[in-house]
Amino acid sequence: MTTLSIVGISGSLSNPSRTTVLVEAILKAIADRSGHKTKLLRLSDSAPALFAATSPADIGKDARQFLDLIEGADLLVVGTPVYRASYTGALKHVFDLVDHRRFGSKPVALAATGGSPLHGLVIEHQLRPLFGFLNALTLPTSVYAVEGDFSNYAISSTAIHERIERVVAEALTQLARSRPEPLDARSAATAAIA
Amino acid sequence: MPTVLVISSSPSEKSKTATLAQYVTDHLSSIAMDARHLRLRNLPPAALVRADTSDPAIAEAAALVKSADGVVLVTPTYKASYSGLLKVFLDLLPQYALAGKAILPLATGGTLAHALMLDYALRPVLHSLGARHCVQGHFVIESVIDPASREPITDKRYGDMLAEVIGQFDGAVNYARKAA
Repeated sequence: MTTLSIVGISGSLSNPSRTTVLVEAILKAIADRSGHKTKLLRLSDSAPALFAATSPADIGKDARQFLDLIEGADLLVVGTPVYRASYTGALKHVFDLVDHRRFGSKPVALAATGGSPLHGLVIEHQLRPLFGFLNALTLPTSVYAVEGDFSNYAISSTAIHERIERVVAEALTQLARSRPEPLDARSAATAAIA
Repeated sequence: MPTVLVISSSPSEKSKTATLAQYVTDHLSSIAMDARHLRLRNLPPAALVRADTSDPAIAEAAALVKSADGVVLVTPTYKASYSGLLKVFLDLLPQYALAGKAILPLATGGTLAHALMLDYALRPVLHSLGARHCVQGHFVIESVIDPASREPITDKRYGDMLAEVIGQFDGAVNYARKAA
């Protein structure tokens, strides 16, 4: 089986964090359904290295590894807590540092957590345009969860679990599409057209 | 005299965004405002990202916002939005930190195609912070900013447009002072 890089990033700097729990749950569902390994990047661990860099040219080794994983991912799962009706500044700083040319057609699952349903549109109005700029392929289903969807930092809502299943199905469809066909299959198809 | 805080949010040392912010600060001072330019890149990054308001430099910056009658936000355009550095600072302010203040949003960017980021990306964040009097913003294309020149806005049309939005902001600051 081809090794795919499936990377999750949580824009929360808190620990424990509902956002991180949500990103982990999406990663786990992908792993369970596909058998692929996944990797979670914690901004809380890497923030000092990332914030020491103000421009991509100044990036140190630790921050570079972090950005390489994001840029090189075959599938990204991005989650953020809602701060001031948008993504966190720390998460935006990470995406300020990445090379936008590495995101073309990359499938991205979007998730957010907020204190109330009032901010449910943050994904559509703030997160999706950011990944639109990056030319990424944001998956149609996104997951927005509020405090009441968790109990003791575990997802307790069936509606959220169902949405996770939907976004994971979409993610796996995209991964299957993006994987290159074997060469002989491709030349056979070309021959059939000719 | 009304107090105005001009916040520039480019992480780069040599920055056209900071040049624009200083230009606006000087302009505000020339129309009898007590204007001060805060460069977010000079704040300690570790404390900033952890929203550590016990850090003296962070506490001082937050106090400057609190005491200002008006706030000018100047951001570079990164990935068709405001900079992460600006958002990190706004994240650590109290929830309604901009309530009762006049706000002028300004941005620099490489292409005019991103001018709507002021209205689509930044403005909702400002309103979330309680801003109720956010005057028309302005997007300044990088090619008309020359940090090395004594006249850093090299295109007169941009200078005139900036004077226009600064005039609107001046009115809003005075209104905010009266309403307070």
